[in-house]
Amino acid sequence: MAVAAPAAGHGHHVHPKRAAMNRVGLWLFFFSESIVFALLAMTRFYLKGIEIDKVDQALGLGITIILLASSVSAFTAETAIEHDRRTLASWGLFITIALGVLFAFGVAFEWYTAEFTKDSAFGTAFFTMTGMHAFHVISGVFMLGLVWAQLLRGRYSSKDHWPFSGIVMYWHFVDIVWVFFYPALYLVSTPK
Amino acid sequence: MLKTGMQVAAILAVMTILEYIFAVTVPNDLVRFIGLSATALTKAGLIMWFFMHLPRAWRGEEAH
Repeated sequence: MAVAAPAAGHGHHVHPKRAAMNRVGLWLFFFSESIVFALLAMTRFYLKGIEIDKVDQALGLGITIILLASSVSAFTAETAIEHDRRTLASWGLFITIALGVLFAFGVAFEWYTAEFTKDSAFGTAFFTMTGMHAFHVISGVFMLGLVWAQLLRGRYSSKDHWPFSGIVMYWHFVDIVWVFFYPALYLVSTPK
Repeated sequence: MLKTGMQVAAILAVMTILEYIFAVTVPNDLVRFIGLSATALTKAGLIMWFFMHLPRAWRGEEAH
């Protein structure tokens, strides 16, 4: 059955069925992405068991806290726009973007200073997993930037904020992936 | 809602620190693996439930 829904835009309330379809579609996207990330994690354990090479533990914990903090600022931004608090929403998005960029630089620094190479089994897994995740972080930062620019131009309100919520949910998903990748790459064992 | 979010964020932060301390102090590989897996699943569940609004995922109305 076709759903007669007006396009989301300035001052348009998203049709309830369209809103539900948007959310279910996004969750299905997360499910398909989860399979990719789960396969990467399985490959890591298949190649190297629970062994890890020497990684920078302080840096790993630091970027983990940065990404967690970015999820909090993203949540704050979304809650703010749901209550038409546009200034708080704008600051929330800005801080999320800044923390996302900081996380990406942290990963880049880890790559630059790593004492292992991509030629080792652990190195292959480490660079592939962190690289794939960092790609999602960078694309998330780009999309957050687009939504932020739209917010600054006056778009989004408590009644029309689906793209805003969608990118914030994507950002939380990226955070969840790291919740599993961080222990798998940094904590699951002591360096041999 | 914002207050609940901040409480969840505090729990996640504490869990992250405890996860690190647990990993560097527990010598048994199996115990460490199980503990880290349980922590990661709990953290992911909290993020999905409170931050990603999992309970609203299949509701018809606009998210609020």
